[in-house]
Amino acid sequence: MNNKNIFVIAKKEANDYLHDSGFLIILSICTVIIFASTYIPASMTTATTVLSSINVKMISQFIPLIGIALGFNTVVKERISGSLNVLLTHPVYRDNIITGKIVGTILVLAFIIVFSVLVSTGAVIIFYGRAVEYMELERIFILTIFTFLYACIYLFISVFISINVKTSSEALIYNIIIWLATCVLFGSLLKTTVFILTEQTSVDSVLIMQLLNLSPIHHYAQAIGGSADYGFGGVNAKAAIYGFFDTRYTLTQIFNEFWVNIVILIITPIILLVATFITFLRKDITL
Amino acid sequence: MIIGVTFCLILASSYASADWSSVCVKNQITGKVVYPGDIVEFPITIEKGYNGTDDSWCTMLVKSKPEGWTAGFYEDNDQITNIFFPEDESDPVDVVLKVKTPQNVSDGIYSIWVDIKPDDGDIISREFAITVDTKAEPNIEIYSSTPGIETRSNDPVKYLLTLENKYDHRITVNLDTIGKSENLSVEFLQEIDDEEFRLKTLSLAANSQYDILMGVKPSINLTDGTYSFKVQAVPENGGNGVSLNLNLIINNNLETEEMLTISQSTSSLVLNPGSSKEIYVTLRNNGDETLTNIDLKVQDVTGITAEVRSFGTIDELEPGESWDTSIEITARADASPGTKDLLMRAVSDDAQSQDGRVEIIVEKSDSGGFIGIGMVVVSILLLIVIVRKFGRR
Repeated sequence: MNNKNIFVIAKKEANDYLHDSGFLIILSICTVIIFASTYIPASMTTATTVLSSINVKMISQFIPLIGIALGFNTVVKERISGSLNVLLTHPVYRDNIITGKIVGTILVLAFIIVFSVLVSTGAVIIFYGRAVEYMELERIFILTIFTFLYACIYLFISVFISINVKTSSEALIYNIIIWLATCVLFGSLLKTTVFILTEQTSVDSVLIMQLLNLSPIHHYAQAIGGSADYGFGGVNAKAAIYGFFDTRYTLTQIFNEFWVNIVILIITPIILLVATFITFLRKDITL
Repeated sequence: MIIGVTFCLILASSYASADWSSVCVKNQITGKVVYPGDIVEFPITIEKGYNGTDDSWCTMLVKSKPEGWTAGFYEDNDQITNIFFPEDESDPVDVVLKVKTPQNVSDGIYSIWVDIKPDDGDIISREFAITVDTKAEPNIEIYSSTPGIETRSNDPVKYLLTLENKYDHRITVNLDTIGKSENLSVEFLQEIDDEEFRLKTLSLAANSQYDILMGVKPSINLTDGTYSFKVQAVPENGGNGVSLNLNLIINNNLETEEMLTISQSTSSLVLNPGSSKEIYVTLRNNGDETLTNIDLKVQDVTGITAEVRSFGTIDELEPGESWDTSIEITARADASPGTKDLLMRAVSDDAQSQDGRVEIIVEKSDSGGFIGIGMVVVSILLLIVIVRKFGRR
């Protein structure tokens, strides 16, 4: 693998995003979402920490859209425009292309999330003049990492779809359907399906809790807030430890409690990345 | 109503002026001083004359009276014109001559002549002199065993007043205060069945005395000093009244023997928005009696949340016993910077404590502000680095 080619392609990919007006829109939307999900709860709550002011539910539902917005057009756009064919006339391999594109997109996604979290929480701290402890900064950092991993899942799904569809609009529709099904409505669809099939209405039934593991939002919600689901009308169950936002427990205790969710949040993007990589290598990407 | 100085014109018994009669008439009082509109009463005793074994009777009538006046004879509040004495009974009969003076009568001396006509013997005539004097001193007295009381501002006290009617007639008296400071609120009270009622006018029976409670409440923040005022009792138809000087001494340094006290571990707290601290509060029963249903009440303050760490009320607190609890005080995230006073009070069925006060200073965290600015600055630097590194065409 030629690292120089990868870096050039990644830089070119990032450059395309930075000069696209859509980048500023995505950056602004993400910042506003995180800021709004923090500022308003902070003004209402009597909680004692900045962490408890952050509305993770809101973030968990909208952050996947950022990943989708960055990834849904990555490959299909290049293929339709014919630039992929042009690129392949140069001494670069397919794996260089897909790796460079993914690295560039990940870089932009990471920047958007880090920027949004820093600006939003920083502004809230300035506005309200709260005292911030090191522990809170530590957990805001962890929130940023998990939010990035969570967004990466949808980024790689969108890139995967982008490789396999013929038009951008088709890619966008598939991605929106996946976002609605796995993020927003997964819990309520699951409860309905289980009720129809088994007539179980209990939210903490074993079957529902097992099937919830199929949704990325479940693992994100568990790790950050200790909740089973953050979707609309979802499963309203809460763990004894409220995830990484529960300052009563040390990081070690929380890792021990939610290690499965954390591992899934780390492994899922890797699996999707590998799948995307292989698909791109095997796919006929010419026009 | 009769109000005025009553005096006896004739102290000795007066027998019938006739040479012989089957009844005799005795009366000690033949003159009174009244105010216009008063009802004046003259007691008269009538009994059998010389022949005590036979029955006898007499007729009573008002022979002359000033124009516009009304007068009549009464026995046990019933108007009568005749008295019958059965044979072998010689008990005297007490009757009252009641005279109603007109409201518009002018000052002067007026005579009323009455005739008692026996069934046998000569007519007995009596003259009663009524002096109408609007400037006469009333024959009542007001006094207090506690004319001077020391207290603190906003701490009410009660004076015990006694009003004595020295008339041999019922009178109506209006109560009022003179020269009272605006910072004092006064009310006259009467206790009936452990309940207090406000008084304005009193009806006093003849030759009786009446105890009145007068509640005085000084206003909040009244400065130290002696505040004097008069209590006045004015007869209903009279121009003058009697008065009594009372003193209220305000001493805000006065130590009080509170039955229920409240004390807290700190009187001042500094909180950042969103932060909280716990203070400890002790309630103590300093009295001699058990207090029941004690509740700790905490005043609501904007931007501050105070949560008492206990369940409901305390059922009982024995004399000398104390009870500890804690209050978690949280400055809301949107609390504006500044100083706020959190007041708390212990309330039982029988007593309540003075207000406990905790000063809460809400101030924005300097370190938090620096960290927030640092985060924003870092994010902007990151944006610049990314654009410079990857944004060049």
